Amino acid sequence: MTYNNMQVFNAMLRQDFRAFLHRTVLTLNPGGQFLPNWHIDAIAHALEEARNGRIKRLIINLPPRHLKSIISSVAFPAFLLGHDPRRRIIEISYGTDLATKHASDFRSLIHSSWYQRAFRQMRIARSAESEVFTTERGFRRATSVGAALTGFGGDVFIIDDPQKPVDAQSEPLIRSITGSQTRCFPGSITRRPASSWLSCSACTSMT
Amino acid sequence: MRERGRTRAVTVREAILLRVIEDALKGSTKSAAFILNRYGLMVSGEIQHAELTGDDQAVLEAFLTRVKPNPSEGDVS
Repeated sequence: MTYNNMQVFNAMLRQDFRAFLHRTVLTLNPGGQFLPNWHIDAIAHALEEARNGRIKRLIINLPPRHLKSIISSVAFPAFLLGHDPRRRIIEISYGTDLATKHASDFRSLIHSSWYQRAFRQMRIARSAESEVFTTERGFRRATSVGAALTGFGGDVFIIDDPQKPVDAQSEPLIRSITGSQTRCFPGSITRRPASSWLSCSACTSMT
Repeated sequence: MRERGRTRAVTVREAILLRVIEDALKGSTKSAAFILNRYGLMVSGEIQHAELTGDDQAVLEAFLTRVKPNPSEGDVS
């Protein structure tokens, strides 16, 4: 192993989200295996487009256990903050437990030695259970649907499973979630560029 | 960490190194020797850099396989 190999490895992690995701999966599943597939490549490409500002709204619908949460709620926020520690990211899930689980995975990722080697400009100022702040005042904040977000402006909103699978047919709940999402992202009336990533059955009423 | 009357956030590693430098400047020969040795190693390139783990190698190899041009793609059959 030479110093140059490490430089190549770090550059690859910074430039290639798919490689970054591969390393993320191995970190979160020690001893596990990463199985590449075209749907992962497609999501990675779409998220790269979002990171570069070419996609403002993105909906991801996938069956369970297809890595959508690891990709969009864990790896992608870490990749975003690694490139720009000023980004303000809010991640919303249906319940506190799920939001906390994603936050825990996110923290494991950004505290890993390989991440800190690859993204030296991203330094952690404060790391708590549901939120991480960078020294550049960026953050990733995890919350649940219905929780108060007043006063917490964000650049990027990730809505990951805003309802439980058993509530998928609940019309009142879907209306409630759709209403709150509309309030969060009022179409073109946004003062800052905002993006949202959705993976939910409520999407059917939003598209 | 407080420096020239101003507080600034630093990593634990940076705080330890700053404290060792401070000790060296106050006359601690042990701290001074440590810092000078580290500097000497850095200049000579002898500092051991972190190595790629097995997982790192697996990711790197998968990436290289993915981006490596496929020689058969250029063939016209």
